[in-house]
Amino acid sequence: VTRRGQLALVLHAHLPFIRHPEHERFLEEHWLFEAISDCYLPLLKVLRGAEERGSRFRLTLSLSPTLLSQLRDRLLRERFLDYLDRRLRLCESEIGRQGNGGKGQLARWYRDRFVSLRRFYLDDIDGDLIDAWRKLRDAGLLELITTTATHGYLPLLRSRGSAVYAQLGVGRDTYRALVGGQADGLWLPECGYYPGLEQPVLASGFRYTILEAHGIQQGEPRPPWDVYAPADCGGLALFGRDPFSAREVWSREAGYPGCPVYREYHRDLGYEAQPGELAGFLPQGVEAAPTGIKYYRVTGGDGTKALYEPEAAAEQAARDAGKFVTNRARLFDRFPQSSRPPLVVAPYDAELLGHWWFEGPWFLNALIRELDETPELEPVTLGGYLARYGTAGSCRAATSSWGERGYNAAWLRPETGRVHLELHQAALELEEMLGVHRSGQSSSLEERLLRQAARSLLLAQGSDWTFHLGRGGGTDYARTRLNAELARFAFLVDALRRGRDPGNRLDALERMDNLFPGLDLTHFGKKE
Amino acid sequence: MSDRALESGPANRPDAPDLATVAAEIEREFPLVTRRTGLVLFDVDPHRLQAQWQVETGHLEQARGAFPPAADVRLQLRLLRPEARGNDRLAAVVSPPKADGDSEGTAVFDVSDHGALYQAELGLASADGGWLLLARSNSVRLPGPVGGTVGIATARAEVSQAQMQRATAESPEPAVSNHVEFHGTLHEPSPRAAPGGLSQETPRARQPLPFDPTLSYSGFSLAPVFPDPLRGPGWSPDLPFLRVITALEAPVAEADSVPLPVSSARQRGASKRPSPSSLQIGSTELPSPSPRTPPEAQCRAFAEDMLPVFPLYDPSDSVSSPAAHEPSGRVSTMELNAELLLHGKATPGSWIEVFGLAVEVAADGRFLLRRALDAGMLPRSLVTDSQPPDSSEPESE
Repeated sequence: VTRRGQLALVLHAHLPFIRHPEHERFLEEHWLFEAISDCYLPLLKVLRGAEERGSRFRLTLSLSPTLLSQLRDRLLRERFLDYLDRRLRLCESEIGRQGNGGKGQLARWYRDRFVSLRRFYLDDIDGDLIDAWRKLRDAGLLELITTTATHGYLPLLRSRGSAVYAQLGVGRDTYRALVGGQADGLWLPECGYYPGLEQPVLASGFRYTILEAHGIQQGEPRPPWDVYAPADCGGLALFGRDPFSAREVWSREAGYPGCPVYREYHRDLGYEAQPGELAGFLPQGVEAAPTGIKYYRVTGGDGTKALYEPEAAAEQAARDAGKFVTNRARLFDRFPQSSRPPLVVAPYDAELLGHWWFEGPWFLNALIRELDETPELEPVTLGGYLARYGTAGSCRAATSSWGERGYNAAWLRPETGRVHLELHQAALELEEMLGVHRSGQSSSLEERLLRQAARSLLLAQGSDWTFHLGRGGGTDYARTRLNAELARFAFLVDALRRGRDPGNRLDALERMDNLFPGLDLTHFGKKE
Repeated sequence: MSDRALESGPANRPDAPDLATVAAEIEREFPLVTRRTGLVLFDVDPHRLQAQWQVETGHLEQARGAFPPAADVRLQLRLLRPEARGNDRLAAVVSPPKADGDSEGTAVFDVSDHGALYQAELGLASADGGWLLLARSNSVRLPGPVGGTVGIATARAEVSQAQMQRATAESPEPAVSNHVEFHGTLHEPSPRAAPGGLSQETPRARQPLPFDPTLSYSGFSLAPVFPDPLRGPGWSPDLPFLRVITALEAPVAEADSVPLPVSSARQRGASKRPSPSSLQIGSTELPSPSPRTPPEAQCRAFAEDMLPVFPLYDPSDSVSSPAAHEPSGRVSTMELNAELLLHGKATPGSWIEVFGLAVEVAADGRFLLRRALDAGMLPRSLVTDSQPPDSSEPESE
């Protein structure tokens, strides 16, 4: 007997707020531009193709408020085009340098790819990624969900309840303002959960979220369907991440991206070019950084890397997609016959597909086609499954995250303890300020100061900074951003306490940290 | 290339220099210095708590001034287990070394009583039993199985200053860095020990605490073990149609066991970590392969119908991380994958074919096949044939 089951593929798209209008070019803004060109646009192409074919594919896509804010930002959109053109000029110079050899051929392949992406961005979606996703949502292919305002890691913010409520509330409001409609689903940053979190999540209007597998499996009582059906936790539906499908993609040793024919991420022209060859591409003062032009494949072993062969990689991506579908379908044989089909929830960072794993969008394209030919494995959105089958049993879920060691250690180490204390204290200060300057009784200047202080606090709370502190390349920037936002917060609170008008400085801060324009201060009030 | 022109020229703002100036001025005028006394407590994982404190400039001197001039006073961080009716139990005491820069610090506690509630207090203690509270932290419930057994509180603390240097003033061996005190009586400070500007929280009277042997010094550091070791080796899912069997081919002597990354401090004491003979299916971190680790020692567990009881992968690389960086230090991951053991009896001297593999049936009629299973793969069909493989006509069963 062939048993049937359902597959909920979930992609979480997030980038921290890395907009720097105070600089002509800023290296970390490349994070956004690389994500757009290598990940979001190729994924969108695949999804639009599926929709045009009438595919039954369904995807749950999480869009973080900081990402949405930056995709909407006019300055960054202009800079993205500038970035694409710099990349194209770099390709042209590489074609001239490499001639007709293997690298020259690859440089031409990259140029044609970037030209195609540029055309797609400008002509097909009119430079508006959010609108393109919205249309796919309205067509039924996508379910869009969101996450907390700046990807604040909630288990380490809960020492001040207001910080948790503010992250959730501003996240919900931003989604509503930039995408439209209500997001029923919440992506918990880093899948970070602690018992009791369901209360602020529900109070913020979300109906379901996703936990790492052990958050469900160590729940009490353990849900009868394990991670293969959502469980009810105080009214919030909790989906559990399937460890098998996670491992097949993420495992450093056995995961698909490590296949020898796939593109090698770490060998980038930006680290191999001669001095001066990248001058037109990189910001002033930066000597080496990724360009997106990578000539080698993983190859295997520690020896010489072989040149990348896109056709062979595409064929491998199709094989891996077939394997993925086969392994999921096999799992369903282990379940008893029931009116409820088992559900495999497979969430990944969206940036994995195309950026870290270059062939990811090809894999997705092949996966969609495989699923269209596999009736026993039905793709669904999380909300779609919940609407049709509801939850299966209830449990009190356990503390968990999908980070290193499964708990909070990826963001809380002795060297980051000071940061968490500062964030705790700042949230407390803002609560106190809001107690003094009550809404409706404050001057417009006080309201502006409070709002900007809240923005700085939210920006400092992003999980990206504490993750990167002490981890090599990202440390300096993470420390810089934390120091800057906490200094801005202190400056703004000081102005409030002293009753001073900071003049053009407030105006400058509003222009730099320009996200969450309609920020609702009631989210930040004391909650305990 | 698209015919459409760029929406604008060089993407820049004319006011960029002004913005940069304001940003730099604010950072210079409001550096990240200790601004306000505070103490916060976090759960790192089911085995560790981390406390972070800072004392506002001048606050510490004010507090010290509240004690008699000759008093031996030092900063103390106390880890408490709040209990009913305000009878907080003292679980650990940490005293940073006396230094000028003790206005901020970090302490990490190794604990193993899942589900227990903790709170920390920072204050000044005098040698004669005086205590002045400076800050009290939030409460934290140690993660673990919800509703699980509350076990034993062990205590160990590492203290570091702002520069994260390990030290304890009262431990002769900072590497061990343990210090647990059990005060028979804790005194309230005298009324004059509450100068203006200090915490408004008033120290409460405490009852004498009986000595509790379970809170004694343990001297080891537990790294997290997933899943929760309280579940024990015999734990299995309740799903009636799935079953986990954890077993060993043969008893594994300690010397043959896979070396787990234990610290020297941990080796000195008893460990809650499951013994090698009770390793669960899953993964654990190992140091780089050692020539002393025989290959056959790397997989001594097998399973049937394995259900994932916790992540089988190393999730350390699965967090959002937009910046490119090479993998950090080389740490191998050992995975105890599922293995199928198929044994039975058939016609002596014949062959059976299983998964395309020809297996010879021994003279006594027994056969045995071992096969590693890929994650997620549980073959359900078995093809057998009693003829030699080159002439077989497989049939499904």
